[in-house]
Amino acid sequence: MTALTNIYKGILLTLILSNCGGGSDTTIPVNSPLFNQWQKGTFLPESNFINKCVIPRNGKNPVTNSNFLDTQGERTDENNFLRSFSNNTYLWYDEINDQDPGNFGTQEYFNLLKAPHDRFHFTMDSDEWYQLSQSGISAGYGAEWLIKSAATTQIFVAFTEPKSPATSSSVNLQRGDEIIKIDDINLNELSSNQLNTALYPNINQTHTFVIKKKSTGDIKTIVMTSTNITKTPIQKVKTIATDTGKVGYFLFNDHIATAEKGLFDAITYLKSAEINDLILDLRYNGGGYLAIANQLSYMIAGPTAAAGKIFERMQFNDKHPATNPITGAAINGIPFYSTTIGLSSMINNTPLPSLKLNNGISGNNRVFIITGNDTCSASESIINTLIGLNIEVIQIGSKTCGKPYGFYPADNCGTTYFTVQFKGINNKGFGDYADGFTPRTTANENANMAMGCLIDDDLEYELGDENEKRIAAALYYRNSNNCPSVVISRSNLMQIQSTDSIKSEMRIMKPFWLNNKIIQREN
Amino acid sequence: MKSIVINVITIGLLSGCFLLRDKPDTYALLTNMTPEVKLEIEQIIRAASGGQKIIISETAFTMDSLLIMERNSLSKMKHTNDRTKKSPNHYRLIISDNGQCFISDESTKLQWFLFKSHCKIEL
Repeated sequence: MTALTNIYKGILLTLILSNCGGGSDTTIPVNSPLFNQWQKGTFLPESNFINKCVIPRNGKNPVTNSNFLDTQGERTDENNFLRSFSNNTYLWYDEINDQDPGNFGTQEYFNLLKAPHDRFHFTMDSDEWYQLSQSGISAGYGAEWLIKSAATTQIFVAFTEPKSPATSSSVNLQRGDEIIKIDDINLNELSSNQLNTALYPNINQTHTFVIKKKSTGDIKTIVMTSTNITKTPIQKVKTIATDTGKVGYFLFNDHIATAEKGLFDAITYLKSAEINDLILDLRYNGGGYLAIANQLSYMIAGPTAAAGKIFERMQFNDKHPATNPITGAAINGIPFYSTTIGLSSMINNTPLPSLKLNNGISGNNRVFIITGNDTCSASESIINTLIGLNIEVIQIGSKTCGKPYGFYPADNCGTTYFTVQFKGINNKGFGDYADGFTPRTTANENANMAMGCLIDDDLEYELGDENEKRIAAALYYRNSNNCPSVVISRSNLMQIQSTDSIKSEMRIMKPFWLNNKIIQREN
Repeated sequence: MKSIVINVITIGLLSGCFLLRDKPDTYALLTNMTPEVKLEIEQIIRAASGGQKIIISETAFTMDSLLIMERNSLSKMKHTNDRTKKSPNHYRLIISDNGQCFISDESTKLQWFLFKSHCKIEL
């Protein structure tokens, strides 16, 4: 990790000091009257405009630990920075409609600097972005909600965190429990703001919920006060005994720092239990550290399959085929981590365990991965990486969210901008999964997708239960190389892919910008 | 912002000494997490991390001597997917032979006294 750290040290300084290029002509002097005058299709380097702020900041940048470099500027300077930066680094820069930066507010202008199909374009207040949080800690009740929004809204419990208000003896929320009322108001009479406030509260907020228990159908009123919840990113590690050997299972919900140790422990346990197949449940995993995905991919694939291969390679826009435009470094493939890297409490450089999994019908090692609409980015990278290593991935569940993209957050004048700058491609050069991974059912479909079965989420059973539809389907497929009869039809799949019907899918609700790949510059 | 950072750093300097110890650390757990103790820890972590806003839980250092801090608010950024985001900061609660509690920044090895906290050896 030290090496990784060193690679990224000074990146911010590099960005600030370097002329990042990207303009069609850079010969206009700064004192020229043309300097701030918009000419369609002509771009000065963003370094001409960076840190020229309507409201310059004083004090220290907490990332670099050096003084802010802000100087007095104008709104047009801030807009010109965004215009040039986007033209230089935005993945789809040639789909931006170049407009006069003098005609727009800065946020409004940033919103225009994107391709029409781009779903991942957002900003944050830089102070908020720089904030540090204890790993795995977030305000809430310890219940993850599934939202089904069609003609009427339904909200269910997807899973709970141990030792949280949601699992206290008086509340005892369980997967599948349904919210009927919040604060004595029927769900469909609540505004989205009221829903968000109640379901995703700040700390020490108390709300009353009327719940329909899945297990009994009883109606129960509960009161929960939000607190800081410690997330357990790996849960329900278990083995399932079958006539043909043990199958390992675990639920992996968050690629957070503490997951490094959790995954190490889970794989170590499953290895010692001598499993010969693995069901990896990523249905609610929205991503996080790519380094965690890297480690888990290695532990599943093993050292032989990973030898000499890359985990992932960044692909920027066609102006930067060989060099990372932000770091200036040559674009090389990211190797696999075969040891711990110090994200969690594990000692650095502890060798990672790996599994010996059965071969599938392809003759290569096989792994079953459960997915859902909330399986995003870093989780999708695991699928793409393993396919790139010729591991036979059997995907059980529904289409993943489709986020192969990433970005370097860019702080200018107190706002941090997130604009797509690259996509990740696997060892075979594939990274075009913007529509998500969908299990294919025949061998002659797109070989970059996994074989598998389309199966609905099943709230009737606990996660990890062998009777839960997706787990049962994985076990069925393991025996038969076929999907069970409860699959979603292909025609339903097409409906799910349409923009309207996606609302009828049950999804874990969160802001759209939460599912993106980000590279954080290091100081 | 500047004044806040200066105040935080001053508090850090005044509330504890920056030390480099040459003997192996004895890891510790808090025995008296109170709002005052939580505030003291937050001030130290904030000073140690350059003045950033800090969010820790009421159980920090009570079940594990290691505190892992990640950039950005997990309450809002929990599913932000980053490839090689900066490594988390690691802070360790340690105890001296005479029962004094310290927080140690594991990357810099700088240590801060805790005046309002009581701790015990982590078993």
